[in-house]
Amino acid sequence: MNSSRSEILLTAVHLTIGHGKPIRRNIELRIHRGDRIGLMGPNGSGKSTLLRTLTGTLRPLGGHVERRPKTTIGYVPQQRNVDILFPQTALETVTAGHLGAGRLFPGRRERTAALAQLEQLGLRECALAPFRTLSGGQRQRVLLARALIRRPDLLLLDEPTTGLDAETMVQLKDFLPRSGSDGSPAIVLISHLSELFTGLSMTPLQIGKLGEAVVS
Amino acid sequence: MNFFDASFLWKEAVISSVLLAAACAMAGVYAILRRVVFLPAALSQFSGFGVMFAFALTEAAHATHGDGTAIPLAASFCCGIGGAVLLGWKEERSGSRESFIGIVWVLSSAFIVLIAGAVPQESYHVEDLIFGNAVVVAPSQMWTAIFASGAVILLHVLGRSVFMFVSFDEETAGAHGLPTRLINALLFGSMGLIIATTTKTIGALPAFAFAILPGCGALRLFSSTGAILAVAGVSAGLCAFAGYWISFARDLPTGACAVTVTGTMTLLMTGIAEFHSRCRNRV
Repeated sequence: MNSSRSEILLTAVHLTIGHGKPIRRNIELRIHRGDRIGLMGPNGSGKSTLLRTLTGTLRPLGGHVERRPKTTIGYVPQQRNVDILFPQTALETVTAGHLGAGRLFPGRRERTAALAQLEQLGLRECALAPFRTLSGGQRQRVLLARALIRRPDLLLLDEPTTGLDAETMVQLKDFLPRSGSDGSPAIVLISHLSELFTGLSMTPLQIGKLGEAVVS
Repeated sequence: MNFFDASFLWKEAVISSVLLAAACAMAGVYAILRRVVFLPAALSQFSGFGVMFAFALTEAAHATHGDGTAIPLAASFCCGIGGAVLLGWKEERSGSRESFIGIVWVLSSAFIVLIAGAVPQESYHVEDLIFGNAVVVAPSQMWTAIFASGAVILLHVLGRSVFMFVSFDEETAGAHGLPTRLINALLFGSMGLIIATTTKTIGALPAFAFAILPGCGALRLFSSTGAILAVAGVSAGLCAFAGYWISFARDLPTGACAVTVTGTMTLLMTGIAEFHSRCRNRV
């Protein structure tokens, strides 16, 4: 994307994505530190599949993804992919953000950091509330806090505004890391709402421009 | 004779039951949360199939050593743990785990009946190996139970955050760099180990009850994972002890007694949770 920034965090080369069957071929993408990309496209066009392929949770059907070594990814899934019946408090959910390759046992320090992160997102009083009892907007902020606590180099958000009212959407904008600040992460956000990208100073990008759709 | 005066009769059985019940309940919390509540039943049956199959195989090969139980027992553990690891490793696709559990349960049950005719061992001996015997526990079985339950409890205390993260939101756990398939295999493998050991030691019915009932009660009462695991484990251990006590005092079947006490405890916990919830709503 932004070629003026030197540090490349992630490169997708001739990528073919899909769950068994290809959805989209020949995707070419380069993400630099500080990039802010708003990914758009119709339902079923492969936006979420692309995000999962970039994170490594879904294997590409062709091509490859190169990540800069030690790139930390923060991921905010669609709320419907999270099992909200699970008995976790907001604090436990955010503390889990510390977990990753080689980091398996969060301690007191991690819980304190999680509490501070919740406070930053205005959720200090909900720390011990069960995740399932929170409102949609609060849950979304908890999931965002879980991603941010990792101090990610690359923040990926999959439809973070689904089911949120206009006011909460505006709040979400305030909680995302600011662009241009030192060491600010690259952000890739999927949404149907193009006006959201304008508000977040993001470069809107149609998934169709990244690669060819496979017509089944 | 007083229950405690007769400790020489029940010491091994009670120690094994209390520890196995606690470990079963902790691992069972995940079986409930991941909607695979019949996994313990299927694993019990599959490890029983392992015993039968090994008996039939050693008989056909005339390869019986010692009292002839070492190979069937090893086969039972291999089936219990192997089946569970495989299930954890397998990627979940719209209810595929539930179907797999159903298939394993029904086929294992059928094969046990089919193979039983070919096994000439005394029937009570084979039955004890498949379904355990809650009354008589040998010291060697007790040590196996101590090691297996100790390992599972330790694993679930230390790995609680990771297991919960992968169970709650596997997609993000994977994106954050956790080896989710390996963690799932370890989680399900720990269930396989404890269910196979419990089934062999005290029986399939108590194994299923300890794995599911205390977790159900604890989940109604608490919202924090640490509290749920602790309450499920401790209440299961207490129920196992109370079950033995009542069984001894009233001369009732031990396994059924332990299950009834566990069920009563679960109903009590559910009642308290319901009462608490109504009081809170009224306020």
